[in-house]
Amino acid sequence: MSYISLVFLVFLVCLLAVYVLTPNKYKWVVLLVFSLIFYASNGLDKMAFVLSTSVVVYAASRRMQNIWREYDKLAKNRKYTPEEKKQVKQQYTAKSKRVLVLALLVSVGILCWCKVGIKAVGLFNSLTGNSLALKIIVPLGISYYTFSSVGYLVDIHWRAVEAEKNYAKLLLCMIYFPQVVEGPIPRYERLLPQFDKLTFPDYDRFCKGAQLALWGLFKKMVVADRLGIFVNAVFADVNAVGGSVFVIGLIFAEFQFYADFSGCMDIITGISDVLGVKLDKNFDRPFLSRTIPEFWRRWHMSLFNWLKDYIYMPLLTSHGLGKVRKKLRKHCSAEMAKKLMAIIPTACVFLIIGLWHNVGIMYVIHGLYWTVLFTLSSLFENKIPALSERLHIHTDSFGFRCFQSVRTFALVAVCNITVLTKSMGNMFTVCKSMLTSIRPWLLLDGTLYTYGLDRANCVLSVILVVFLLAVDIVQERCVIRDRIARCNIFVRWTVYFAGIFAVLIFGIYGPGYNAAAFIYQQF
Amino acid sequence: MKKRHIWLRVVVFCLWGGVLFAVVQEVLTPDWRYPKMDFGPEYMLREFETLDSKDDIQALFVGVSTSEFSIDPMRIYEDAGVATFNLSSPNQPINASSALLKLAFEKVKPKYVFYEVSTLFTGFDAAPYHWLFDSMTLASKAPLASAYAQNYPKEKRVDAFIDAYFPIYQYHERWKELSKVDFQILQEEKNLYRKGNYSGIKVEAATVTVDLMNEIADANYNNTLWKNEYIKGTLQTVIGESPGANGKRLLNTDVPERNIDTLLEMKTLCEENGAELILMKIPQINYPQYDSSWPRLCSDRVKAIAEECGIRYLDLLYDFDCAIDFGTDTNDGGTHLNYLGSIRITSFFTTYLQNILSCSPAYCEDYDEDLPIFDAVCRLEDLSTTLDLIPYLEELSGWEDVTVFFSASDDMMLNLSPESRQALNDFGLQTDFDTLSYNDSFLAIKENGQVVYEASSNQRLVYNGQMRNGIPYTVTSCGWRLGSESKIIINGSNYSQNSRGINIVVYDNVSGLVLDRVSFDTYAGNQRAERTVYTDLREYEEYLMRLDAENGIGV
Repeated sequence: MSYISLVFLVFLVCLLAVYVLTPNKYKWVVLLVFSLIFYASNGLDKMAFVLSTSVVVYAASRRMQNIWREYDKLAKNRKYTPEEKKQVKQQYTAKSKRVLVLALLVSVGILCWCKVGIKAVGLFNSLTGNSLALKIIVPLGISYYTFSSVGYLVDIHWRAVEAEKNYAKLLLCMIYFPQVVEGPIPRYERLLPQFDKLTFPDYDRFCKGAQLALWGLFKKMVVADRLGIFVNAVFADVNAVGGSVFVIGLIFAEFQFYADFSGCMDIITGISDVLGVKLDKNFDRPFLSRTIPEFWRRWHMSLFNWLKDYIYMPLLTSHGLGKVRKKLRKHCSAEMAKKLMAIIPTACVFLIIGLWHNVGIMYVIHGLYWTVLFTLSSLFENKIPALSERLHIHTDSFGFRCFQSVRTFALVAVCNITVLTKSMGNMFTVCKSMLTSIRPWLLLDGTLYTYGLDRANCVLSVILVVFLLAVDIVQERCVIRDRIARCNIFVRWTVYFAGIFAVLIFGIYGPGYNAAAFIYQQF
Repeated sequence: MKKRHIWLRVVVFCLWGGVLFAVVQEVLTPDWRYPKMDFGPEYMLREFETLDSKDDIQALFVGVSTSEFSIDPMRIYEDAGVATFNLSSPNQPINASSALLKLAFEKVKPKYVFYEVSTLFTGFDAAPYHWLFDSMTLASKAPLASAYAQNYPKEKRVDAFIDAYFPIYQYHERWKELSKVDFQILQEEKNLYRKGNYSGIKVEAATVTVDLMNEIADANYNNTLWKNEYIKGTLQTVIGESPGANGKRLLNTDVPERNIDTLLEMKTLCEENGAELILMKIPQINYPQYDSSWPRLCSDRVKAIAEECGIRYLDLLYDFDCAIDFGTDTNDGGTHLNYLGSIRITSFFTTYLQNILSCSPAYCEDYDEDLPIFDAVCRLEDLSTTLDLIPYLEELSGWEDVTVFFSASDDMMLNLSPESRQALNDFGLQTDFDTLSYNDSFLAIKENGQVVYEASSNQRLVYNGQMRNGIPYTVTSCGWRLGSESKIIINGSNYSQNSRGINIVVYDNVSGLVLDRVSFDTYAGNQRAERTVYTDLREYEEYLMRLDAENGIGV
């Protein structure tokens, strides 16, 4: 069931009808039932995976909680010397760790099997000459619920959160329907308490949530799917396209990814707002970023934060890297040693991001590209201001900020080549074409209109891209939704109807089209 | 905010949204027909509501466009006093015909329903449905939408139903091609004075004869698959499967079971409503690879089905002589009959309804009111489909309030018969045509029955004048050796066909419309009228309707 399908609309109306009639205390049950229905609508066979993972996570979390409760009881009742206390804690940490590792092996194992199973069997077949056939079911949102449950288990192990007693509520956290398809990767400690305080209806919340969902729908159906037609056509046969068309294709692709992913986030955040559940922010106007690290703080924030908390920081503060850092300090400054040591966890984070998209050499390149950029950015972080000062560049001027944003945008666009071309050969063809055969006249002689979008649609696409950017710039200064809410009813309704009819008229849908699935759904 | 106010606000928001939605949908949905004559089923069915009694309509016609072009209910009414209605539409699928009948039976009680059988042989095509339901209101399109959705597999039926119910789903991409016409959504009431008939005045002879069509059809039906191969220079002919094996005949005369079921449903529906279903086939010819051909094999198949189902079948191509001349009576090379063909077919049905089905004349106020417009349009159709010079001049002499321009080009004299010369003189021209030479120029202007200027010369002739309504014109004539040119410029636009012989333009002084532009090649032996641009009948109809609406008393 897609978020932009008619069936989903019917589903939502039914949910709201039941939701409004259910007492506040039991509203979470309604959410759980409808989340299960939503999940089951994508295939009953996939339910087994998510249910088994949830059982493992619940059992492990309860077991770890009990271990730590036992430890607390022991530490409270007996009088240990600090040395003994440390020893006992180590014992219990080891116990908890065993449970954690076991749970992680199961849940991450399922994820890995689903993600790389087919490729692994293919590789095995090619190496051994066997013809082993395998059908792997990829459960809906497996990456999202696995990552969130891993975070939850690690937090319990670290004693940052308490384990949830109610299995049903934990299951709801994992498969809460607005976030199960494309995230954001939830933090259960923020999500769980909200299920106990659900209220409905709330007029203001409803209006603002509906506005956000409409804006998301606009981004997905009007902007992303329109740009997608062009991007798919351009990168379908890279040998027949001129360099300048690739440039436009890359720019459109970047806006397509953004409009698609953030559009979905807005739809689900809006829906969840209506239901009274606040979801984590996943995008924060990334195209206004001035540096690469800032871009990653604004793009797919929930994934990046998760990786930072559960991969980057543990690795950076690990015993092994600490030893290496000490050795490095003998050869360079402490600051430099710290930055050099950050390369390994950074590489791990971006390799995971790359492989999270798909398994393959192109995604390894994707990860390495970001590692290099991120590291360079970090290494030269302090040099740039000094250099700018020497060159008399006002780093706070509007022009320089624009330059920085455009530079960041360009670096991100270049990285997208790896995702769009899907093979090394194609990637080199595109790069070569952009460097040696730019052919700018292709942008003016009508060639652009032969890639799925006619003249009117091309012009509209450019207008939409500018509009999207303008909205982000305005949003940086004020919350547009609040501004709209303060306007009089005539202006408000005009805005709402303009949004609705923009989707109806300019949306990409109808019998001639297949409404495209959300891009990030496949990850 | 008080709860009551919130609900009120929500309701107003939804209502206002609904109104805007309807307007946007109307703007984006294409008008399949010319403005104000959009006789989609919605308007046809609405027309039934203006009738005094449900029994007024004695017969209905459903089916494809051949029936729409050929059966003229107003002519039947004028000739026999029997009110009928034509619900046919382009490529109308059989289950759409059935759904239309369901809707029609809610409003009228005809005694006879004639179904044109062409679509018995065809499968599903979405476009004809859109012709039907795109202009219908949400309330009335349910049966058609449901019939449309039935053509899709189960999982796609919801999509299809939405597609049918909300044309915006199909046409939202039209935003880039909207023009001024699309925004004319608040038009005055449609006038269906033709009661579902669409008149074509083009004359385009068929390129195939009935015999040739059948000959090819028989060959296609009996065709055996073969392949000639030259292997190292030696011919080897491989004879394939026998005809009909695996359904591989080049001519398919199979009728899908589903269509037969629908036919039986239609029969039952008619019986339940006290009507008799009669199958009919309007004459049409084409090469058998086209759907618009009608070989005898298909006719025989329908005959067998009709017999099996106990339904009467009238094949007007093979079983009844309607005197159709496929050289002159077709609008587009045999597929649709034109005005001339329509007169013959309508005449058949008039007689059939009167004599065989014993329909008695009954006064119908709505039909009577529309007769003046109908007669006026038919008069123009008569003129625009007259093919020979002498009858054309005779027809034209009955027209008042028109200006007729004559301009000769090249050689108009070589084969201008004495009868034609006399007819020209009888029309009021004074030139002695016997004295003109093959390379002379000639022009004449006759306004409101009076010849205002006439000239012939062995030099180039140019005459500038002004009509009584102040419209300027320039007429030029150049004979052979003088440039072979004809120009009839009225108010800045040249309407002459500039063909060899006599070029004629008929201008309506009251409406300001050019009614006809024709040329007769009086140099050649065959002096049949040539029209490269056909009369804009729709423009004239609109003018008459406007006039009718303004006067309120008919034309």
